[in-house]
Formats: sequence, C-alpha cells, structure tokens
Amino acid sequence: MSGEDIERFTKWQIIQHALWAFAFLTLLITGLALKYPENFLSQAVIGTLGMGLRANLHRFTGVIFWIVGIVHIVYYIAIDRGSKPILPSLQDGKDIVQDIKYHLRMSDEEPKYGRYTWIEKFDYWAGAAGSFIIGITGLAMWQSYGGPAGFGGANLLSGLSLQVYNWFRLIHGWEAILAGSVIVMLHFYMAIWRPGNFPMAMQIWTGKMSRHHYEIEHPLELEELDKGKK
Amino acid sequence: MRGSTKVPLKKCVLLIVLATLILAAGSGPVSGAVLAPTGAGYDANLCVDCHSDSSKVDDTSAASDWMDSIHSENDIGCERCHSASVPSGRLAADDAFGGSYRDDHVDLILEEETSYKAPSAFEIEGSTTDYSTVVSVGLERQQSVAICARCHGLTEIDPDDPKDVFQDYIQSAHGQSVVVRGLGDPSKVSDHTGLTDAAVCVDCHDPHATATKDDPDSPTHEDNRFELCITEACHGGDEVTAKYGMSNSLTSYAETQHGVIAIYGSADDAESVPACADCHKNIESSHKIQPASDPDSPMNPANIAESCADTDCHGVELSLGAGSMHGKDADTTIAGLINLFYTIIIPPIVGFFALYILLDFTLLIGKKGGE
Repeated sequence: MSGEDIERFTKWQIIQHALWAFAFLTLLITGLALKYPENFLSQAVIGTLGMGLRANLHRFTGVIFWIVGIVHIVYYIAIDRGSKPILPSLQDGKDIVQDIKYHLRMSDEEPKYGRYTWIEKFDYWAGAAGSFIIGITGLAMWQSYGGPAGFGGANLLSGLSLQVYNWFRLIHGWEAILAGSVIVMLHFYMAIWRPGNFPMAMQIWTGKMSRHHYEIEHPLELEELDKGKK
Repeated sequence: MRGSTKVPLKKCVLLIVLATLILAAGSGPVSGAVLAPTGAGYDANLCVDCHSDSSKVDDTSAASDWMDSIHSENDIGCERCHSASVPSGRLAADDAFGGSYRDDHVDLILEEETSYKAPSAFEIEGSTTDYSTVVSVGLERQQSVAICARCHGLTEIDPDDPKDVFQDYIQSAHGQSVVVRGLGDPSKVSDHTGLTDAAVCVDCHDPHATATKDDPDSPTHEDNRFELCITEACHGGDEVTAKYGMSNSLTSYAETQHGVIAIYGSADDAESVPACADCHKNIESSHKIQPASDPDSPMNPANIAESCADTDCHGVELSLGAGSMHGKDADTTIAGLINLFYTIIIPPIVGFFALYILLDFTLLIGKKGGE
C-alpha cells in the first residue's frame, strides 16, 4: 500500500492556494520594487513593467488577495462547519518543544503530527495576521487617493492626516518584509528545498500525497484515516 | 480776476507734451528713446562685437549665450542690464547696482595701445557719458531682482502680459525672503526677509542665455524644473535647508511615491507625477511659490485635497488632511516606534527559522547518508 496516494487537499483549497500564491508573489515583487527602487532587481522590475503597470498590477493583485481572503474566511466560518484542525492547540506547544529538542539532537524522538505540523500552522496564522495588516493598510492608502470603484464610502483614512498615511505606508512595507522573509525562507524551504520534497512538494497542486510521505509527515492523521474516523 | 495770469495756449500744449515725455522717460522700460538698443543710437552689437572676440575678452560665453537668447530675439540689448545710465524706474540706482559701477571701459580708451574703443567713446544722443559707466558683469545675485523688475513688472507695461511677473515674485516665499521691505505686501514680510539664499531671477533664468519656459533647453521648462529646485545651493542642499529649518527636498521627495516614480521610472513615468512646481506654484503664476503655511498655497492643509483632485492629477479629492507629502513626518515618535518594533521582531524570527532550516537540512541529509 506504500504506493497509494491519499487525498490531502480539495480542489477548492488548491484553487485558493494558487490564487493566493500568485497574488502574494506579485504583490511582493511589485511592492518591493517601489520600496527599494535603487536595488538592481527593483530596477529590472521597473524597467520591464514601467511604473504605471507596476502600480496597476500591485492594485489588481491586491484585489485578488482581498477577495481570496474574504471568501476563505466566510467559507470556513459560515459554510464549512466541520472541525478546524488548523486551529492552534496546546499540543502545538508540546510539539514545538519536542521538535526543537529533536533538531538540537537532545532527543531522538521526532514529534508525531496530525493534519498540520506546528510550522504549517505558524505559516498559516502568521500569514493570516500579516495579510490582514497589509490588506487593511494597503486598501486604506489606495482609498485615500481614489481607490477601487465602489469603495468610495468606506474610506479608512478619511479625515486623518498625512501622518497616518505615512505610518500606514511604513507598516505596510515592514509587514511585507516580514511576510516575504517567512514565506520565501521557511515556506519555500519546506515546500521546495527540503530533502525529500525537492524539487517541489506537489500535494498543494495535485491534492494528493503519497502514503509514504503521509507516514513521515502526518502519521497521526493517517492513523485516523485508516481507522475510518474521518 | 484776482491773481490770474494769462498763459498762451501754445505754451500750455508744449508744457503738457514736455511733461508727458519726461514722465514717459522716467518710467524706464517703456522709454524706448533711452532704452532701445538701436533707437538710442547705440547698437547692442557693439558690445557683442568685442565680447564675442576672444582676443579682446577672456570669456566670450556671455555674448554667445545672449545671441541665442529670447532677449536677443526681442532686441533687448546688453545696456538694459549693464548700463548705469538706464533709468531704473521706481528703484534708485544705488538699489539696483549697489553703487558697484566700474570704469573699465573708461580706462580702456586712456590706453593708447588699445586698438578698439570702449562704448564711452561713442557719442550717444549728444553725450559721451551716457554709457561711460558699465556695470560690472559680476552683479550681485540680489541685484538681478531690481534689474529684471524694470522690464518684468515693476512698472506696469501691460498687466496682461505674461512677462509681468515681478508682482508675483515679490509675493512668493522667495521674493519675500529677498526683496527689501516695502516692495512686497508688508503683511507677508517674514523673519527671513532680506536673506540672500532664496532664489532670485538669475538662479532660475540664465541672465544671458535667457529662454522662455517653453524652450525644452530652458531650466524653467516643466521637464527641467525638478533639477532646478533641488540643487545643492537650494532645496537639495543639507546646509541651506538645515539653516532655514526645511527638509532636504531631494531626500524627502525621493521617499515619496511621486519621487520614486520620478527618479527611478522612465521619462513617461516621470511626467505622470508632480515635481516641485506642480504642487507648490500658485495656480495663477509659477513665480508665486508659497510656503505651505500660506492660506493661498495649493499645499496648505486646507487646499491639499482640492489641489490633488486636479483633473491632471488624481481626479478625485483626497481624503488626506494636514501633513507633509515629503515624508518628513515619518520622523515622528510613532513612526520611530513602528520602525523600532519591526527592527526588533524581524531579526529573531528570521534568525530562528534560518537556524531551524539549517538544523533540519543537516539532520535530513545525515539521515539519508545513514540509510
């Protein structure tokens, strides 16, 4: 049975991730080009796209980012009433301690994970918090000088001073650096560079994961699946 | 008829004509009989003949620049600015030239070996002295205001003429800082009035290669105004800006989205965003640059939303209120705290996961090697 593939993600989750990934990376590239215009990579982006297309692409993907985020939240709160294994639990704390001990060679015992590892949960929740901050500040800045059509009445910076705009700009940029660092470093390592996953862990694109990988990465969930509890 | 004197009609008419002529001559720029380069019997090319000849003068640039200038095109000759005999309108000669006449040209004719004659040797309207004192070419910058004003607005040549800009200039932050008290609106005289660092006419308009703002090569052409404003001696210099409590406009503008687009974008990108004068000029006149604190300034907090809503710009009123578009407000306590917060939290997070990745990678590689 080791060659068997197990469904890990639904098509719905695959589409959300794909849209989110496209939007995030485009926003990161087009945004950092404005934040660090003197950098040679930024110059390449600006030279290729031009400032006008860069700005419009940033706003367009910002809208995708917002829509995917809202649909995601609404779906998992109002429509999908099932269990939410992505929610943090006390077990995550124990897993973190055990995982650090294991990586420091202080223990031979690797933590056994269920549906999500603590790193996957960190990725998700840190990403969600960062996205919320980036989304709000980004939309507010855009709104302050016009913004997307239809949002005219919901101006977050209305009546506030330019100082607030500048603070929002600072926060927006810093959050992008934080989120970009975590995604490019941690998420890309886990999904692409990690031995065993290279050149890419395909489950987020195909929806399926081999039983062999499931046994290594999510043994507790596999046990439950095998018991037919899910 | 107590005390009455009978004056002949002919004498009355003559008196009126004479008075009119005197007044006309006294008004300066319009008195073509005195000022016109050729009309006065004096040809401006006489200056150019010598000053474009490198065997006679060390620097021929002034003459060659003038020949291509808008002044040359309109027959505005050298003596308009350089001759002390030019009536200076309401300004006293000493105000205009600071008494710094020099008599080089007089001296020249005293040297027998000199093969050419200085202007003072030419008879002009029966006098050999009208052009005998030629003002030093090294006029003080501030003197240019008085000199240019003689033609450009101190006297009302034509209120509708666009060259009539002196009144706008003296109401500007630059003008108020430079021009002596009393010429401008006294209510707008600032603490900086009389200071010599503010821009005067010749800082923006080359005094010899004078060109209109429509000339793409002119420093005042809309494509060149940014470079004009942010020179080291003006708004792009740390020393000058610090002296007057201003932010370095080059640095602070570069921090804004407008600045990034203008500096790092293409030429088309740069045209799509405002540079200095686009926001700071008075709608009626680009010579009337006003500080944001002035209620009439487009960048006054009360006017920013409307100014940015210009159809050539954002097209909608901004919701933003008071503050600096130049990003200097980012140097406030809250901005500092924001920077401090992220500077503190990012390195540990990134460092922790970098270490984790390193340990994880070596662990898994070791495992594979052991298998």
